[in-house]
Amino acid sequence: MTVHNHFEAPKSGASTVKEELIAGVHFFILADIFIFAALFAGFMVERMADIEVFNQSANQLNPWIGIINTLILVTSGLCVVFAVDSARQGNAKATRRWLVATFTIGAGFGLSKVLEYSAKINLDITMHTNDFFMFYYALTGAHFLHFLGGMGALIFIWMATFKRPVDGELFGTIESVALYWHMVDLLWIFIFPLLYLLGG
Amino acid sequence: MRSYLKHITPKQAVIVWCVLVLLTIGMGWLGDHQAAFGEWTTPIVMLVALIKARAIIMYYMEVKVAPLKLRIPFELWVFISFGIILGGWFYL
Repeated sequence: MTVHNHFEAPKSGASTVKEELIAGVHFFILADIFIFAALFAGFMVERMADIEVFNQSANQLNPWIGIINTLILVTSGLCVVFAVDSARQGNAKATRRWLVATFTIGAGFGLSKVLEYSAKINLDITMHTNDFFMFYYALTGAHFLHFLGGMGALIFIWMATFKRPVDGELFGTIESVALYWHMVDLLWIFIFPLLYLLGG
Repeated sequence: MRSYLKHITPKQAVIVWCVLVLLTIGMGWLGDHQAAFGEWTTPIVMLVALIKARAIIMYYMEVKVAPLKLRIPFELWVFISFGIILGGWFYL
């Protein structure tokens, strides 16, 4: 019986492809999150130059929106863990069910972000308002694009589960999408306190 | 029987999720009660963020069971991000 482990040595051609795919995704994730670390540094440097404006601007954000967004993402992350677990057991139906749950809960983040952006724009708060809001839109916008990419990837693997066995070659893709989805969650864990909570 | 030795089990995942939810709500509470903790609020908030980020990396991403060559850069990223934000905050 097959035992899947993305850190084990490859044993066949298919598992070599899977290992390479997972390694590639890890490399992509690391490169991506280090770019965000550079953005965090840029934010902190600019904050030092104009701390009053940064603190006042941060206080215009509602931390509970950030809290709700975090809860949405960690819950969606839990669902994708279950999707991977179901796929590992070869249960396509359960995999699909958890992928739908991941997507549906994750969609709440998108909705929340759209509402938050709309409220800010209605108050005439844009990227040009000040440096804080330039970083606010740049960081949350870049994160939002990653989120949209993740949502697209979830749809892609959900559709693929109808055509291919979930514990075959597709399993590596499912694991890769799950890793990417966790990265979206991971980035938000630092973006949230950086923008919403440092202003106190 | 399938081996789950090197994977997070659904039960572990739920435990990690509970920890993440409690810490997240705790962060919100801290944000609302900054006066109670004064200047310690930000270091506490960042420490909570560090714990949450490590929980996601180690358990959800299963880096806990990964080779060191993969674990080290992820650990580095968490501590660098934590250091950048808290270091910048302390500097002022």
